[in-house]
Amino acid sequence: MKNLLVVSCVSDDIKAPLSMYLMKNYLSEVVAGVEKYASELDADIMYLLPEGEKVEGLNGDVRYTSACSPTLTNPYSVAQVLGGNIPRPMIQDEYVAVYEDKAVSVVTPEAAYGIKNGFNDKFVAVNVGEKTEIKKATVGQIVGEVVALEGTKAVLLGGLKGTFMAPAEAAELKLEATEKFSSITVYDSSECMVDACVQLMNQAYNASCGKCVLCREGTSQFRQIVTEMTTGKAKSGDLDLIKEVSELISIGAYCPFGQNMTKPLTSAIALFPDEFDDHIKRKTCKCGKCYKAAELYYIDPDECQGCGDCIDACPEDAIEGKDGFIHIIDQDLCEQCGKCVSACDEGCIKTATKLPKLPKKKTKVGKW
Amino acid sequence: MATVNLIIDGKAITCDESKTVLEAALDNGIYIPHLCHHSDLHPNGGCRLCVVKQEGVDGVITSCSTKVKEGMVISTKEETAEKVRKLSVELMFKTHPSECVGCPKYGKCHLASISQYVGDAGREFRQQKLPLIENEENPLMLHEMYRCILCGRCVRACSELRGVGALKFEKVDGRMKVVINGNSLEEAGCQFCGACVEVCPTGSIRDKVGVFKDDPSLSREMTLVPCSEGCPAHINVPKYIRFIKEGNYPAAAATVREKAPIPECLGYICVHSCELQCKRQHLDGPLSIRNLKRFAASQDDGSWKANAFQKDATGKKVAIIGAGPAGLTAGYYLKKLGHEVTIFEKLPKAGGQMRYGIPSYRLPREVLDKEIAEIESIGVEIKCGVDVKSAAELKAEGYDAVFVSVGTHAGNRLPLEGNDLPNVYLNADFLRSINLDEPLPVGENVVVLGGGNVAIDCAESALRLGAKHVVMTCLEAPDKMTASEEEVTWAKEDGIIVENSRTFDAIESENGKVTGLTVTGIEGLKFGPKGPEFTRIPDSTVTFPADTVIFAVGQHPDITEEFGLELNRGRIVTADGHKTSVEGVYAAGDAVTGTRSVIAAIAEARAAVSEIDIFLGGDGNIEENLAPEQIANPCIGKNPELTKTHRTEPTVTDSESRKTNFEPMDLGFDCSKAGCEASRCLQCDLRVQISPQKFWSDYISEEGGQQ
Repeated sequence: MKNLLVVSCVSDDIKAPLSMYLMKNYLSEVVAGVEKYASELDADIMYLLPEGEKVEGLNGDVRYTSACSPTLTNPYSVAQVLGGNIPRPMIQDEYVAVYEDKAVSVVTPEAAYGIKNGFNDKFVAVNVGEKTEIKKATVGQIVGEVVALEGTKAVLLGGLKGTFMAPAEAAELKLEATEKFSSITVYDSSECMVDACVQLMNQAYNASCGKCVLCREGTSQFRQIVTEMTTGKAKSGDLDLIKEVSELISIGAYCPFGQNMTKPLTSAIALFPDEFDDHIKRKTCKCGKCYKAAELYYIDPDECQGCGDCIDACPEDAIEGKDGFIHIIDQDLCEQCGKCVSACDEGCIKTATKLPKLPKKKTKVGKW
Repeated sequence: MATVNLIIDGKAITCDESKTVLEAALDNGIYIPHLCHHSDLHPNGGCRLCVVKQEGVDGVITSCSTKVKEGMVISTKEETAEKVRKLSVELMFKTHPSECVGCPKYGKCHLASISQYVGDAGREFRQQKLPLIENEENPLMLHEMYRCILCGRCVRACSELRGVGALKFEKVDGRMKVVINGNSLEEAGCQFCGACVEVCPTGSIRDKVGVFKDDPSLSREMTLVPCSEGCPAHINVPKYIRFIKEGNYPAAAATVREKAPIPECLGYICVHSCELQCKRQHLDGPLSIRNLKRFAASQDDGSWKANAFQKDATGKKVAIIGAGPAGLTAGYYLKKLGHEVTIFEKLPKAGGQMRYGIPSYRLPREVLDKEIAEIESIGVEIKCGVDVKSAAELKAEGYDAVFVSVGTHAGNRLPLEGNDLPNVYLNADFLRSINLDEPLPVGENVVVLGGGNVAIDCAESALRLGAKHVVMTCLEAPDKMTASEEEVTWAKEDGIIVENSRTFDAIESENGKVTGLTVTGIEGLKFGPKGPEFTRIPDSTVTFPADTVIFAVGQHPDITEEFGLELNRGRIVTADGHKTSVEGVYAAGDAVTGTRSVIAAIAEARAAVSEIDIFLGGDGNIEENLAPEQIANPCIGKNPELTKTHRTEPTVTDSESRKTNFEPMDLGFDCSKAGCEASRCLQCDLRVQISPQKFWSDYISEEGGQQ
């Protein structure tokens, strides 16, 4: 069987967009590395690029895909995408992925660059706030030299599969030629770690290919649980649940992404236990991000007419009350959908980050 | 083949090196839970239930996708592996409905069975139930994907086994789903093979209610291949249709002959219960199976004879009374089993109702003669014109066994005023007279009482004998008539008037001559234990003018108690299979069951032959493989023509040219029509090839069996 070497530019971690950067800025090195590797494998070459991208000067067999997945370093996953399916890896003894009667191998632009120039250069995506900058560094250099970490709150090394570290600790680490050092994300003191984890778990949920139960349902559960920490619905046992379950997922998940996707969350909890605890137990966010972002709905007891319209409108059955009594929203059930607001003719359903004093038992309209 | 040695749960196992750890364990009675794995599909590894511990390897390994290696030491019940399994089941149930009792798959669900085995750690995960959306777009299958746990077996079965790829994974609003691969079923290219249903471990993709019979007493093969199940003789319909599609017509004919010795006759006149069960009726109409059979049988080259069995002579003698379908079938197989067979036939020629009931425009006599000659050619002796008065006495004449298949050659006469007038005939007498070339005379106005196929035969025959106005009248409403739909259509084309929902009051006469039939409209017809029940509609009494009246309201055996067998309402009583009240005398066919069909008589006769053979000291086995072996390719591919090709109708002589003579009117299929129709087959039998799903209790019981 003939061989096919696919240069996958669609496997990047969302926090480490190195592939297209290298294709655009170091094309000749990448191509040279690819050609060297291909001749060793006796393989035809194909470039797989994200849809909508264009690389000046790139010749040969170039394909485009809307798929982007951490599994797209797996030959089977790449073959699936080339065949018009969604990415799904296959990890199996002696398994050969085939596309158009050719045995598929995969290389990333970063690896190809290394094949050409050796593995001494290290490209690092540095994420600060909304901005991402890609820096060329050298293996062995300390992280603190690549990015200024003084005065920051935390550092995430390695993107969605990475680990949160204290800045002082991270600054002393020496760069290695591994994926862990492809991405450095800096969080400053204004940022909420719980909110940061919500973002990361949402990204992990989207990145999960969905093949393996532990990753697919795990990301889905974790993102919901962490989100609930920012809306006051999380339970006190949730931190232990996350810890225990992520340990099992790291052992039992199918692919490296699934095994590691819980790490940002567990390391954040380990680093900032009080911050998570405050969110769950005290329902407060010192950074003021979370409970502001998800405002709480309540019914103004001075204005409620006890008509029941909001009760009918609530899809969660979260509003209690009888005709002529002041209605009350059960905060544990409320999903903040806002349907009650438009249902209320009196305009008495309001939002706040902190709830005012509200009736605790059945109170007749006008008796508050 | 190289083998390797390994240890699983302390048990030393030697197995082929190509096996996976999971296969090695299951083969040796060690159960490892698995859900996305299916023995016919490529390993997947997604469900994480089959994880096991390998000594010396960190974490757990996926047993379904790890090959066995020399010296491996595996523990299937190691703590971490069990924890991972439990977590996986727990997570699956967060999206899967937790109430099992309302699910149609209750009791047959793999997920439920596995969760029972694996258990639940009871963690406080969040319920993430999926919206309860049913998709009924597919006429044969139901998609309730809110039960789907994304094992992907359906997607893999559709692409790996069938090469169709009508299903795929897709992320919808962030959540992975199994969806059809296109904007419509047609675009997706569904071939309606049911492989997805067969492999689905949950109730997510199911057969729609009514597509298959829900009868636990039926074997899996019979349930899944409704045409074969519907046929009383269980002819392998998909197999011969596939031979026709391949152009191998003699092989198709041989396949039919494996279960019935008169394939071509059946091709003309079979009641085709197979078509009534055909799965494709839910799509765009059943396959025209009978006409396919007829075409194939007409192309028979006799090549099957090389494969037919013929046992050595046993020295036993069997007498058969009646040379109809049952008698001919019994004679044929008993002779093949080595017994000496003599068939006694009262009428001048063999064939029974096929010759003296069914008109020749439906079954050409040369076809019948040819197939009877085939039966005689193996040494079955048929003595015609011999009226056996008593089966019991015949037995005493030195026969080791007697088979009675006298059929139902006496028509039923309803107790109506004027029922004994001249020109009032019984169906059996009337049709027999035509086939004896001494037709009973008919006048200009003929009224036939009855709504079955025999009534139509009488009406059509009367027309062909010169009647000007023919009326058929019956109790049943149009949609409840027992006559087949196409025959009613043809009768109406020929000008026969069908008067439904009438009860018969009297045959009118003047000076001893029939003048008409008086009937009254009815409604609310039911058949109770004492016969039909209905309400007469007031003021709806009319008289159809008639000079000839034919009763076509059922037939019964033309025998009495003198025949020496116990009878019940005129029919021969059988017990314990086909035994009559006299030792060594067996009976089958219409004489036992009342008027049924040729194929039912054949099926019953085959069963009786086995019993007789065992009675005579044989093994009773009459099964034979006459057709060559067939390898049905399960990889059917995406054929866009499959759903676009609609039922092929046979060429039929037009009304004007057929209603004046007894020449064949349904000309059947030619080669291209047959090929076209055969290509419509949905190949239900392919689904039987798929290994049935096994539950953990199946493996555990195997283990018990080994001990």
